[in-house]
Amino acid sequence: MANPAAEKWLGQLQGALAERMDRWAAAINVIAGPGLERGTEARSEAEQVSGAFERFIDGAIPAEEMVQTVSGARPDPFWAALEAFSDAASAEEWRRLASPLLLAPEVVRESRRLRHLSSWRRALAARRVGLLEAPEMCEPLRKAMARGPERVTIQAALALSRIGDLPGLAWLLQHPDATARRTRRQLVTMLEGFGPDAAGELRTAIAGGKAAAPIHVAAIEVLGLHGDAASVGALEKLLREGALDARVAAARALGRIGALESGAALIGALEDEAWQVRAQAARSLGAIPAAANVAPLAARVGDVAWWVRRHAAYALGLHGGAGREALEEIAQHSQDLFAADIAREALQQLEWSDQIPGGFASVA
Amino acid sequence: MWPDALAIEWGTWIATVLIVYSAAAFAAHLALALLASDEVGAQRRRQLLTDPLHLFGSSQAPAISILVPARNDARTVVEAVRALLRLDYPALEVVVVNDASSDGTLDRLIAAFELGASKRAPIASVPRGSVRGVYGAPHVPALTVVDMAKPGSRARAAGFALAYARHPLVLVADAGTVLERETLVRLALPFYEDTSVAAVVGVVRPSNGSVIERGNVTFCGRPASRIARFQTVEHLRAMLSQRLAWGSEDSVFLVPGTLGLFSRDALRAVDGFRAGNMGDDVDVCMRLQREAAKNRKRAVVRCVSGAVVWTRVPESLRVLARQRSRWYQALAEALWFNREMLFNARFKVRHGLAFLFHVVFELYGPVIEVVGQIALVVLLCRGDLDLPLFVVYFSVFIVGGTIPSLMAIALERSACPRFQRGSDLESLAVYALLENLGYRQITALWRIAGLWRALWRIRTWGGKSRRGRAAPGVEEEAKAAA
Repeated sequence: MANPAAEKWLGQLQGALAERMDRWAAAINVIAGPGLERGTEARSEAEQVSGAFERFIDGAIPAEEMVQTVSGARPDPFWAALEAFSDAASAEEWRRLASPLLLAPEVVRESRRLRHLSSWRRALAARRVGLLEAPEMCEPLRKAMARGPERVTIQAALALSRIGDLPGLAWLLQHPDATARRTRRQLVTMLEGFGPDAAGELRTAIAGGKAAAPIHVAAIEVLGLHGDAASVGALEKLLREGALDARVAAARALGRIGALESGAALIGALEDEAWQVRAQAARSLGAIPAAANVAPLAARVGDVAWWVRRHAAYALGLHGGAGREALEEIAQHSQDLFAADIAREALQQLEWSDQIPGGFASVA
Repeated sequence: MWPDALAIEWGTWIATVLIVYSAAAFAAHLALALLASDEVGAQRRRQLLTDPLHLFGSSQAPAISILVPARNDARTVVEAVRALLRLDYPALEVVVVNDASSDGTLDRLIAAFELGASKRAPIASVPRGSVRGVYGAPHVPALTVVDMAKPGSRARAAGFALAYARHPLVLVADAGTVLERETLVRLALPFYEDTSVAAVVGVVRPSNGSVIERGNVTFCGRPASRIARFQTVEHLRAMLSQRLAWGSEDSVFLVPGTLGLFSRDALRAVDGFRAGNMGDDVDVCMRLQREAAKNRKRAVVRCVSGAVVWTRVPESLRVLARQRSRWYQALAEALWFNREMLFNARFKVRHGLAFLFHVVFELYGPVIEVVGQIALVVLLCRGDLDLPLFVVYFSVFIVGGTIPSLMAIALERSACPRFQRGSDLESLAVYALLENLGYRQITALWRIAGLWRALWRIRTWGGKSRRGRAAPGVEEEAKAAA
């Protein structure tokens, strides 16, 4: 078609129609009901596929025979069996199985569905194809991710994170709007999937010092989860200058990294205007046991915000004898009843720590 | 001559109005059943794109506080708390509030979990003297028991529990309910995926006739009691089909007291559970929608068909009467407190329609049905009504009552299949028809009693009742103390 606007409009119309047809088909399926017999058939088919996978892994059958056996299965039982098997197999077994499966007709068909008109079908294809963790799939997955909409983007990104595809990660970090409605928790899980090798890309993304988009905040969290000491400087800058979410995430990440030199930045953050930042900074200081931290933390046990008081008291509990002394002082002599209450709570948890599963650190 | 003509006109007029009303109710319920089927299809597709076990194996599962307001639950409370602590969820705490029980509920908890005095500090301010003691145990760090000095409403107890809870998601559970092992994971998943989710509700099902061991339904069958069978049909229609339908339109107003997971921040924004009315759980859901509309934000209340909680439904008419009366009192009060949602341009059209549905068919439906049916029978006996009109009305009434119930039973197979025998479903289908021949009329009378109690603001908490103004909530008491 010559007119690109008309072509785009037609594409959108086709997509919407395909989407609606999919939904109606699912609704009709619901009204008709799955039927006990159909359910039993599907289960037995899935068991056959699983059996073929197991025999191949045990070396009882060659790859060609395995592919031939599973090719006869219908799509849903095939993918259900593959997904169940992916949970049970070791990484090595999975690599051995995935390689010949790329030639299975159902896998070839599913990878073509990454270009399907229905966005839901593309998202499902991305999820299924991603199970194989095959580098050959990166290119079509990246295209699907860039095409969107958000649910396709997130499924393709999850698939790419399993493969550890760094160009895919770079695209995600450069296009924060593509994942703007997703929660921080989900984005953290996804970015964590790219592994410690992705730390360089994540550092580049947050280097600007703003990092206000959800995916950039998630990147800060992931750097902390990886314990990436090289990002301490950038995180300290974010803790001073970033947006609220970025400052909270940076404080948490610095605590997870636990570098002694971050103590000063975190003590500075105890004076932040936002209680969320002060609370997180107090909590993170608990992970950096240094004598210099005790006095600032003890001062924060009298904060106006409950969470700051709570985290400061429990952080003192992690500072050994000096922290315990500070807590006892507050519990016995503080004029601030709220500070005394939370100090007594932390002291009781310290007394109980031998009996707490995981010790005091697990409740702090 | 003149009075006779008037009487005949009146009879025809009443019958016509009732036929139109019943047909409208039928159309509305049918539309809801179709919407519910569509929603189940959409949920199935969403389910294919998620992997809850993988997600909740990670450290990113949002932590949940389960609040258990308990009054005189000594018989069930220990087992209920044990079952909650055993739930399949990575980050969980249970806060039990003993609402000044007189049957030794607290003693049972202390003995069973070897609890001691805890110095746990509340997050929100708690009025001095309102809490007699807080209990905990080092070997069960996920359990906190708050002992209240004076009894109050269930909402007030939930408010106190909220003051001691520390996790970002909050679920209020009754001591008598059993959650399936995966229920919490399924309820929390929407919070994990979408930032705008404020509350998620699941499906409440009667446990009578079923065997549930350690959170697993080992057998699900129809209840032995006929009264419980009627309620099973009702639960499938109202708590599965209708809720899914309103969920698809983001207009869920009725959150069951036993299974609603809330964002703590969203609850805080609407001042938590309001102690001044019976329907704290219904009311809070409507206030969430109102608050979101006021701030021009999107607040989603989702219904998840796969999240199931089991509760014993009454098997005696006396207990059932009391429960229904309480439910409809709660509905009436919540609708009254949130009446600004009707015909208000600030809210979405679908919210207004959902509110109108609840007012016209849920709240006033029993009054219209009972008064209308008595009037029709009297008019027919007096010869002031044509038999065909009478037959047409009851045909519409029965068909309109049966078909949505049958669709709800069919929906069970796809949304949350638990029945293991086809014969149980067939039996329930018969009860879907029989329900219209007596049971519906009796429950309508109880619902009218609930409306009456709402009008006179008569309060109850479980089995006990007392008249007069409700006990003030935590916030109100805090203000008074200040």
